Order: sequence, then C-alpha cells, then structure tokens
Amino acid sequence: MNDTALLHRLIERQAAERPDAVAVTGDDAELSYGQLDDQATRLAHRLIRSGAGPETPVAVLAARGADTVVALLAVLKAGAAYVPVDPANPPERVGYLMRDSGASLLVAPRRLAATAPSGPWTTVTFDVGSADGAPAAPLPERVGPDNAAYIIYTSGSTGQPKGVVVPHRQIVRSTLANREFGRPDPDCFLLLISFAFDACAVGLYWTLSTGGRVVVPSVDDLRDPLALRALAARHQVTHLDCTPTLYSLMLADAPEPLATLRCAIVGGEACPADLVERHHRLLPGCLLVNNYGPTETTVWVTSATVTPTSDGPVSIGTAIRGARTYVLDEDLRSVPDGVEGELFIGGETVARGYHGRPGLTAERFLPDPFSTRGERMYRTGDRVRRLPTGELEFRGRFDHQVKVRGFRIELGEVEAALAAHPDVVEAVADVRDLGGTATLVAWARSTAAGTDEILHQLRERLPAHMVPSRLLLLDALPRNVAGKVDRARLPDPAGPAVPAGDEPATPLEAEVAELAAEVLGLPVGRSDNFFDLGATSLHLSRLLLGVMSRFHVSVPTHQLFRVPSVLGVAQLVEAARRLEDPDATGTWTLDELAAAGELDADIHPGGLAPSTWFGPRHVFVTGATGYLGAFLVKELAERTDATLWCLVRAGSEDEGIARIRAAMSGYRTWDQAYLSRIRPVVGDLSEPRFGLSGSAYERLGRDIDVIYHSGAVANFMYPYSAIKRTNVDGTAEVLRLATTGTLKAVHHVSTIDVLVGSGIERPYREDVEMVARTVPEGYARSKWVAEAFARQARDRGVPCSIYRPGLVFSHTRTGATQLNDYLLVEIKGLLDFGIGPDLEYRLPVSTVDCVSQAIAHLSTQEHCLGGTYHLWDPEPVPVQSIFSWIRSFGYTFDPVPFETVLKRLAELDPDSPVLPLLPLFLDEERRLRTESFAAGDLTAADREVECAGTLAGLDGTGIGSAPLSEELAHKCFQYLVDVGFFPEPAAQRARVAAHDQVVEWREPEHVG
Amino acid sequence: MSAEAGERRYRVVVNDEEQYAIWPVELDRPGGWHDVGVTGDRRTCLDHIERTWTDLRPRSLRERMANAG
Repeated sequence: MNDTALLHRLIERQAAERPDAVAVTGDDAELSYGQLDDQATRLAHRLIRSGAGPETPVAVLAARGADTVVALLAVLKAGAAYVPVDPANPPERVGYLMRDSGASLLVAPRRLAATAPSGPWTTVTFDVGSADGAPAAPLPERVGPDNAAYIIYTSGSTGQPKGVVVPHRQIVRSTLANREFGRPDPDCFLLLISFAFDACAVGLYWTLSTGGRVVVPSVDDLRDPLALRALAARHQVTHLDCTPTLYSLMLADAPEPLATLRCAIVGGEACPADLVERHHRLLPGCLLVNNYGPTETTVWVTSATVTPTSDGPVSIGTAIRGARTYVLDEDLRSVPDGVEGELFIGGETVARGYHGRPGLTAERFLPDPFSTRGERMYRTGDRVRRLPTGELEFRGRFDHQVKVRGFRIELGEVEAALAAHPDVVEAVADVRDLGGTATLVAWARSTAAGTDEILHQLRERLPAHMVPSRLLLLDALPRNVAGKVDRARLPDPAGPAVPAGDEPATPLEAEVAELAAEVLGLPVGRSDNFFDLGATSLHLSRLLLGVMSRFHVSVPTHQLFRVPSVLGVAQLVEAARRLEDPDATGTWTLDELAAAGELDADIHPGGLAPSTWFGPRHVFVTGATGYLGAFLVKELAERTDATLWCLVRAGSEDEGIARIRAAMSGYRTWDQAYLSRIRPVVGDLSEPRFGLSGSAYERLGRDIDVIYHSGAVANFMYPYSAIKRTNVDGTAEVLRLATTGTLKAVHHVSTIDVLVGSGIERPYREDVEMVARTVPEGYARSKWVAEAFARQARDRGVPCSIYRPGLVFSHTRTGATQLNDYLLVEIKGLLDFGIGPDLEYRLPVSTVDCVSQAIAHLSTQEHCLGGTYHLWDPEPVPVQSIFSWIRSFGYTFDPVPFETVLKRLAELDPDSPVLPLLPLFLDEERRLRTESFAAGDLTAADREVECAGTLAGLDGTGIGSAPLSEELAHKCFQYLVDVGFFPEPAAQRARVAAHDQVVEWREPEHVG
Repeated sequence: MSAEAGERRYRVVVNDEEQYAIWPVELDRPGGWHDVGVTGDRRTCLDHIERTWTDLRPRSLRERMANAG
C-alpha cells in the first residue's frame, strides 16, 4: 500500500472486497462492510450539503455504538475533519470544544438526539439502517493526504484543552504500521477505548483496514469487567487494547473467556510486572504488547512486545516505521544510551499542530536538528532513556501532566478550572496514592464557597475523569523558601466528614453509607454517584462484597452498577431481603427448562450403519485443551491405537497442536509420542458443524468411530446466555456428527452439578429419573440441557454413555489441577489472611487420573456402552480435612467463623486478582453449603449406591481406589506453588504474621 | 524543563511550508529552516508567532486548495 492513501480509502477498499463481512458490532446495531460504507456515504452527502468539506471541522458525538463508526467515516468521506465529542462531557465543555474547533455541525445518532448537547450549531441526526433504496451516489474526491482527518482534544496545561490536528498521511502511516510488527491482523477487536481518544484508532482502523470485525461494548458493559469478559467470549475476540488496570480485571485468574485472544495491547499507564507474569501464565499463546505515543504524533509511536523474561520496568519499545525517536538533553543534544533525557519524536507521524494555537505549536513542534529538510519534531515532555537493546524506557514526566486511570490530565487545567470559581483565590492539583489507587486530589484557598459548591461547578466544566476525587480547603497553601507552592507538604486527605444536605435517611442507608465511605476512602452522600466520586469498577466489586457480607444478600454485579449510589444500593438490599429469591429475574420456569432440552428431531440414527465402537481407528475428542480433556487424550493415546482428532480453536493446525501440547504440558501429562497420535481439527464447538468446511465435516462423518465430548466452558461466573452456544449447542453438534455418515458411539462428559443444581435428592442413583425440581442457573443449567440432549439421543438409539464427575481435583502422581476451580480460588484468597471458614460440608471429589482412566476404561467395555456413570469417590472429603492438609503443608490457615471470613475478604487488596471473582465465589460458597453437601446425611451404603454402576464397571481394574488423602492434597498444593498460583508456605506464614501485627482485629458484632 | 527556560534566548524560524517554530540562538539552525529576524526571550518569540502565523496549513496545501478553486 502506498502512503498517498486516505484514511477512508483503506476502509472502502475492504468494503469493495468483502461487502458482506461484518465490520462493526455494537449494542445498537451490527453492520457489514457494505452497509457501513453505504450508510457513511449517504451521511457524507448530507454533510456536504450542510457545508462540510476540506479543512472543515465537523463534531461527532462519540457515543459507544456502531453508529459512531458510521459518523466518523461519513465525515472523512465528506473530506472534512472529525472532532469527536464525548457525550459524557458537561455542556459547557462541549460548547468550548465547538467554539474552539470552529465546528458548526454536530453529528449525532438519532437514538441520542434528545440528550445531545445543544447550542449555536447545527445538529445532524442520522439513523443506522435506514436505506433510501437507491445505492448512494459516489462522492467527489476533494482531499489529499495533507488535509486534516481529525482534531482530537487533549488536556491543556494553562487551563484550556487544545485540539491536535492530524492529517490523513499521518493517520494512514500510523494505521499501516500495525502490520509491520509481525503481529496477526485482528479477526475481532474489542474496542474498549472511547472514540474521543485517538488511542481508539489502533483497534478501529487497523481492524477496518484489514477486513476484521470491531466489537463496541455498551456503556453498561464498560462498567463491569465480568460483562466485558462475557462479551469477549461471545464474540471470540482476538485483539483488545486498554489500560493495564482494565486488562488485569478482565484477565482475573480465569482466562477461559479470553481463550481466543491473540494480541493484548496495553497502554496509557505503567504496566506492572505481575500482570506480565499472569498474562503469560494464563494466556501463553497470546502476545502482550505495550504501545506508547502522544496524540501529537498520531496514536502511537513506539511499541514493545512484552515477553515473560523481561525484568525491570516494561519498556515502551522501539519506533514504528517512519517515526524517529530522539533522547535529548536540555540543549537539544543527543544523550548517550542509558542516560536519561527528554523524548522528542520526528518523522512521518508528527501531527500538523494545535488548532488555532500557533504559539503553542511553535513551542512544542520544533525544528528537527537531525533532518535537513525543514522537518519538525514533537517535544513530548516524557523522561526516557534508551536501553542497550535499543528499546526505550519510560521514566516519568518533566512537567505536571499526569495519567490517572489511563487518562492524560494536565494538572494545570484542573487548577485553572478550580481558580475559575469566583471564590477560589488559588488552587493546586496533584495525584496521590489513596488506598492503593492513584487519585486526583486538589487543595484550594476559598473566600466563601465550600467544597460541594466548588466541585459542583467543576463537574459542569470538566469531564468526569478530571474532577478531583477529593478537595481540601486550606487557609493557606504551604510554600517553600522561594515562595512557590510546596507540593510535597500539601496534606493527604484525612478521614471522612459528613457531606451536608445529603445525609442518609434510614438506618439501612446509614449502614450502606458507612460501608461506601470505607470502600471509597471518602465521605459519600446519599445520592452521590460513586463513579462521579472517582470510584472504579474495582471499588464497586469491593462494595459488593461488603454488601454481601454485611447484609447477607446476594446482589448481582450488574444491578449494583446500574444504581451506583447509597440510595440505590439501600433499595437493592431491601428488595433482595423482601424476595425469597433475589435472583428471580432471568430464572426460567421448569417448563422452559424442559423445552430447552428438546433435541432437534433431525438428530437420530436413521438407518445409519454403525462405525467401529470398540477398537476404533479414529476418535474425535472435544475439550482437549481443558483439564479433564487433556488427561482423556493421554488415556486414549495409551489405551487405544486410534488416531485422536482433537477439536481446537486456533489459527492453523500448527497453532492447534501447539495449544494442545501447551495445555497437556501445563498439566504435566504431555509426551512427545503423542505428537504422532493427535491430529488437530481447527474449528469451534460453538459453531454449526464446528465451523468446518463441508468436505472436512463429511470426512469426519465418514471416518470417525467414537466421540469423546468433554469440551465446555466450565465457569460458574457466566450467565447461561454466554455459554449456551458452546455447552448446549456444541453438544447438539456433537450428537449431529454422531449421526452423520455412520452411527458413532458418544461418550458425553456431564457433571454432578446437574444433580445438585436441579434439586434432585440424594442418594444420587445413576439411574435416577432426571426430573428437575428447581431450575439450575448458569453453568449447571447449560450442562443440564446438554445432558438432556444426550439422553434423548440415547433414547433414539444413539449409543451414548454419560459420565458425571464430581469435583475433579489433583492428580495422584503430579498433583496437577485446574486453576479456575472455585475451591482453589477461595483458598488462594484466604491464604492471604491465613484463615479458613469453619464450615462442615463434604465434597465429592476424585483425582483427574481416576476420572479420566475410569472414562477411558468404561468406554472400551462393550457391556458398559449406553450407561450413566457417577465418577466420584464414595468417601466424600470433609472440607475441614482439606483445610487441615493446608495447615500440614505449612500454611497458616486458622479456622474461624464464616462471618469473620466474609469480613476479612471485604478488606482485600484492591490489586488482588481474586477480588473481582469473590462476589461470585460467595455464591459458590452458598451452593456448596446446600443440603446436598451437609455432613452426615448419607450412610456408607447409600454412598456406594451412588456410584454402583461405575464401581461394577471398574471392578478388578484397580482404577479409582485412591481417595483424596493428605499426600495427594500436598502434591496438589506443591503443583500450585510450582506454577505460581499459591505462595510458598514460608513466605505466606511470614506475610500473615506481619499482617496480623499491623491490622487491628475487629470481631463481628453479630453472627448469623 | 520548558517552565524554567524563560531566560534562554530564542529566534523565530520558519521552513518552506511556512511553519513557524522557536529555536535556541546558540544552536545551529537545522537544515530547511530560515531566520525571520526576530530574537528574544521565549515570550517575545511566541508573541510574534501568534501574530504572524495565522494559517497552520502547510503552504503547499494552501496553494493546492487555492488552485482547486
């Protein structure tokens, strides 16, 4: 591609080549390339008629939706420069942006027309999806590469934001540079960055110029990391770009929803080393990239591929092609490698300058002394140094520009806004670490107005992220000898005071307000919006935990995000207390459950000839990269001579085999010999016919003899809707394959959860009639429906065995276990405190080698085909035994009342990756405490009955005769220490001891 | 760095695209840049540029657009 291309041409080219491919998916609409191009062209005609043209700024309301992409593209096609305006901006700020940019048009989607800011400009509203019938007429070619493409505003140090003008040439170069690092092009990019920031251009234009799909989360999605994870899983996102903080929340400790991720880009903040380690441990096949670049040099200018072996601060990498980086001293001379200096950037991506600010432009865009052609370089104000590798290391700023939660803020702008209040004599803003979070704090001297009034005015002028979370009014600002404000002596904000006029109105509200103040670290009024106070989703997670602990009600995370105020939370708590089942919304009736379990009529044996069910030549396996699946593959490789065709999501067969091998190696069950036995089948369980080509599917139908189906999303966090396609539809697809070409034997891996979740009474006989008494949620529901499909297929004559494992935990020899097991996540969190709840339930567990061997053996026995098998040890393990084994392994883990545990969990370190999972794990705790797992309910005889079929089938094999013991548990813990999931015992003991000395122990005031 | 540079002396320079900038007097002018004849402290230079540089479009772009009519 040549550099004379224009930004919109890159997208138009894709529209010509693949008009039907999906370009953008948002909450509001999904558009193909053809539709995107057509809609943008029509809108462009309207904009031209309204006066848009070369060098004309046109404002675009940058709402989170597919329609904004149409608007941006339309402005470009009209030859104008778009000025994205965040709809969350206060009206005064919007007015400023419109005036300063000179835009006389504001483009807004009609769905937001009612709330769009109004003023002395023309608002052009548009609808996505209204086509006039006739194809849009071609547009005149009016611009060249040097014409402005967009103007994006950044914080200004003297109080007013300034617009950076970027021409087409620069943004095209910036976009093409994404393909010059050997990184895979985006298949599906999750666009987490607002259209109002130029950083979104990576996700937007890299994807749209290479034919990929952009997924735009809604405003609600963006507030909830769990929703973002579900969105990533649903769309099988391959790329994303966000701050390290948000990525850390999304990654958590359970990578499954991000399994399709190929490239994670982080930027806007320093990237912590532990995030790097976690990323590579949890997503070994995914690139981690750190991008850096100011708006003034067009989106990004350097990039680093962050490898797991890099130590020291994460570097910002090396320059993209066409850009030049200089590290200079005060006299604008190059400094030697390793010496700190200021970063200047020259080359093709230097923007035109600041709109309407010639002086400021002349001061920041300086002559490039390393060029002889009158080129300019941009002075970044960043302190860097060049490493021996040639990469750059970021070391801070020279001025008062800061980054808070990834947002670039000039403290001067905040200070100027404060000083604009008539009563404010002087003001200072800075970033302080409060409660582990970088927080924007301000100090001011005021003659009359109080903090509320001043902050209120700020909210009218500044975007939310620039409003200080804390404002302290002082009689005098501390000064140094030279008379300048001494920032270091500005006091940290102190403990809470009651905000006037907004006190809690009920005792419940008072409790909620107290809890909120604890979590947020500042006084909270009854109707204050937590986000306005600077709360992040991390704070909300902690608040949720506190709510559950203090009020003993379960409030789903997304509900809390909708009413983020003391009043709202109090109302939720009341509502939850009133209802028997606070989670009533979203629950099905038993009839709906039964209806969902109806298998397609066209899945039946018909007159198909049977394949070879015993001694198969070709076996199809799903879930080979999962915990149980990996061991099944091993067992099948060793017990049969069959070729193992393993379904795997990957970009190629090579990548597929690499993923399988990585998974099996991680679980310590790989052997080189398996390479010749395993054939990857690149496809997707959640797609019809696994997404395979017609001929590939036919071949499977013809050649496969037996299917082992263990593939599923085994995650208790997800709502049913997010996992239905993989778990439920995927099972239907497996049964469809079983009845295509030949009639195949199916070995379906179900779970004990279908019994627990449906209220069936113990003892769980293998031949129990599967009639649900209650409707299971989420994962359990998906497995119930999937098993219902399998049972129906079996009734229709498909030879299908069903296996229900209990809790699969540890490996007899290696201790290998899966990391997203809820019990282990719970234990990991509790190890931080060295305490364990004194609950008395018993767990039906089994080691993974027992379960996989049992399935493998039973599936090779002719008389066992078509049965249902319960795979857990008849001797359940008291959870207290597991806890005592934790102690004997060397950890401090004192038994305390459950209520105490909840209270301590509410105090978790905000950076703990366990934190976002805890509200859900508390639900899990409740699940495990149900009647089914209470101690002492069943006799030994009853327990034997539960696994009668299995015991009979395994008789004489020696399989499954090793109940969980201290030795096995210790092997598991050692494995977890080896993979870095659990701390070393000595370190944990020391940390708990130190922590206990510092923290004042608060006993709960009431129990139960 | 920039805040404390008030005592340095600069000159106003311009390139062929009629883009302005300031440059320290003691450094050689980079190739492609010419003096306009104004030197002084930072504020003096910037004030001159504020008054003089009224169109931030590069000259070649301005001419192309003017010819396009």
